[in-house]
Amino acid sequence: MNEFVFLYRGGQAGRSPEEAQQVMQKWMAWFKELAEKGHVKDRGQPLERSGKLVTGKRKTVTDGPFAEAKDVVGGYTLIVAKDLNEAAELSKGCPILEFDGQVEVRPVMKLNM
Amino acid sequence: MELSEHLFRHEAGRMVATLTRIFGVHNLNLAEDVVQDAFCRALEIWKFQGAPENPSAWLMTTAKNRALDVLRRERTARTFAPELTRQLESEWTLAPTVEEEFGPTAMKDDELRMMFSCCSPRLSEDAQVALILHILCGFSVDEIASAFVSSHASIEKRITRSKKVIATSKKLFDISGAQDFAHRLSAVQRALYLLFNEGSREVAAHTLRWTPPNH
Repeated sequence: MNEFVFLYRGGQAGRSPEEAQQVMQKWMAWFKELAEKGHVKDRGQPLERSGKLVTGKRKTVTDGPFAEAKDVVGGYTLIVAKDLNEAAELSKGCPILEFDGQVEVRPVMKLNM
Repeated sequence: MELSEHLFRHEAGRMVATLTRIFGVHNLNLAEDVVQDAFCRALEIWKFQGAPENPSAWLMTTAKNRALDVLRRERTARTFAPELTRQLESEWTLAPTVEEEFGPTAMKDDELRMMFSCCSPRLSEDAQVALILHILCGFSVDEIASAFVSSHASIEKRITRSKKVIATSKKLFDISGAQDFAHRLSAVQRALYLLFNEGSREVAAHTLRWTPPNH
């Protein structure tokens, strides 16, 4: 089994309270399903949408990380899957996809000793 | 932890009503922003960590803390509820005052007060009901549009206009004063009746835990 990181981008539209609750319940159901199948190593953490970006040798500090809300990573999860294809397949259930968001699926690099 | 059905919708009305009481009716938009913010945080955090033991209390605490931030930061730039100005100005009384306003009895009064405020004689009956659905029942514009069999654009316009009308009131409706009470009471009752009648029975029962007094 291999480890993958899901990075959640965008998908943060203004919603009514009822819609917000429905979105959340979808997330909870999705995580529950993944966990029951043994795919969740760490549910991860949400990230604040604002931060700082430090760039280059001059170490310029700007408000960031991105100007576009849709590009901002809102959180991550550590997933266990057979291979990259299976990990990508698992990500298809993520509710963020219904709200113009993206899931970036990245294999965690392995140290082959 | 499973969330009870319509929890957010129920809490939204209570939170907006209480925050409007604290911020003043002219800052209705600010109250709604603070509530929106609390729901965004809940959504972001709970989806990763699961809902807390007591989701309502979590939401109230988040809204309360955010309100305190806003009150401290914008104390010089804005005026808040005229009835509470003195208590909100001093750091000694600020937190206890906000705490008290978020108490269960005060919150019930706030909902009622907000409902009477929405039933302003300056608004049409349809506008009153739309406003109650939006502010106190946490309905989105689309949800109200489908309840009224109307378009998104026209409901949005109606709500925006009505909010502006409400926000120009000097203060929230005084539920302890006799003035205009009977007139508005019939509007409130009509709004409640319509809520039930328009197929929102379930939602109304969840969100509006208030029985009209026998008059």
